[in-house]
Amino acid sequence: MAVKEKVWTYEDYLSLEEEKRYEIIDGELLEMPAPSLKHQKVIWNLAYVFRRYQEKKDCGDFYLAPVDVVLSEEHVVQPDLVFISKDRLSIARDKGIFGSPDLVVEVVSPSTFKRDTEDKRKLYAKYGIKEYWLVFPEERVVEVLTLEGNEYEVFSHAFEKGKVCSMVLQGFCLYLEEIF
Amino acid sequence: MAVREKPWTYEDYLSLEEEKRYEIIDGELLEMPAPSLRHQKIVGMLYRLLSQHVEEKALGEVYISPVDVVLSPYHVVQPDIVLVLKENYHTLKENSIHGSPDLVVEVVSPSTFKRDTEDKRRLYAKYGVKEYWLVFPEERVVEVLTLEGNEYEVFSHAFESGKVCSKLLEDFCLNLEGVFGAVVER
Repeated sequence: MAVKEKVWTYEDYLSLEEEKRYEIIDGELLEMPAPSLKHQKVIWNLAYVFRRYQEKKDCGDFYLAPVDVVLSEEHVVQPDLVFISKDRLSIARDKGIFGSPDLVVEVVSPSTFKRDTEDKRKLYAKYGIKEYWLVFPEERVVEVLTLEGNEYEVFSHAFEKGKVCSMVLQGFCLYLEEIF
Repeated sequence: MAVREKPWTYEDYLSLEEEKRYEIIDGELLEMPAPSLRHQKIVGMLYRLLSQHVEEKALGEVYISPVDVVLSPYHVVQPDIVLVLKENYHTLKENSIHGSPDLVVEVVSPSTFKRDTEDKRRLYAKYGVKEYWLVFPEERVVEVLTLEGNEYEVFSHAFESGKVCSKLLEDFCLNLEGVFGAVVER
């Protein structure tokens, strides 16, 4: 991780020419470790299931990482998967997503466990992201958090062979066996 | 899980004669699945390290599950490890702890993931448990949560070969390798 006194902004971020991936949370530049194969496999399985839903419903767009989500100048993240509903697609521009997606999915990695489960949970709630999915490949657990007031509450959760359902994506449920 | 309308209380709980282990949260009777070997190995290792420190410094008592912790008639839990500091020995009864321990450790199981990370987090904060350690064996992550006002904040966290420290117990830190390193991979 680059250690620097300065507050990093989206502008600085664009000037980074390195091969590594970064995020900015609270103006702090955070490196994103390369994901594990297990992590990537789960993402692709998830993407497939979401895609199937999207083809039927035509409710908005799904984007797979790496996509920059610029929540503010000092909060730039690259979630694993994001969904933007049809009527809000204007926030998706050529260079990234400028604003809050309707749904974010993070597949938790051990090395970014706290960032995913604590920091981003607070961040996404603050920026009004209606639904946040936390996927734990090691534990085979999925938690669907939905915004109740200013905080996330667990709307749906399951492990191993269970099923979780979305509030934002109407009628969408996921059988955990499909992704793990 | 037993289904009934009436909230379960500590009294009802004592009358259960089954071999299974249960907890009561918000008056709901919740079964405790038998833990995995890996889970037990880690609980044992943590217990050893924590009790060694606490005994050396004569700070209090450390208990390993199964121990009933009666936070209220409607909240009865069996944490993996609890610490009761000397000044709170009045909570120690013959068969259980009546009141809030000073520190609780839960080694998270997939089947009780939400109970450990969400429900108990809220519960322990509500009952003023000063420090809550969450151990994730699969991820090899440990989080040390400390009470800031009414909520827990992450005081210390690490994964794999890192180190976490307690706020409550001065100079008690844990090298994760010592905890997860001993676990035999299946």
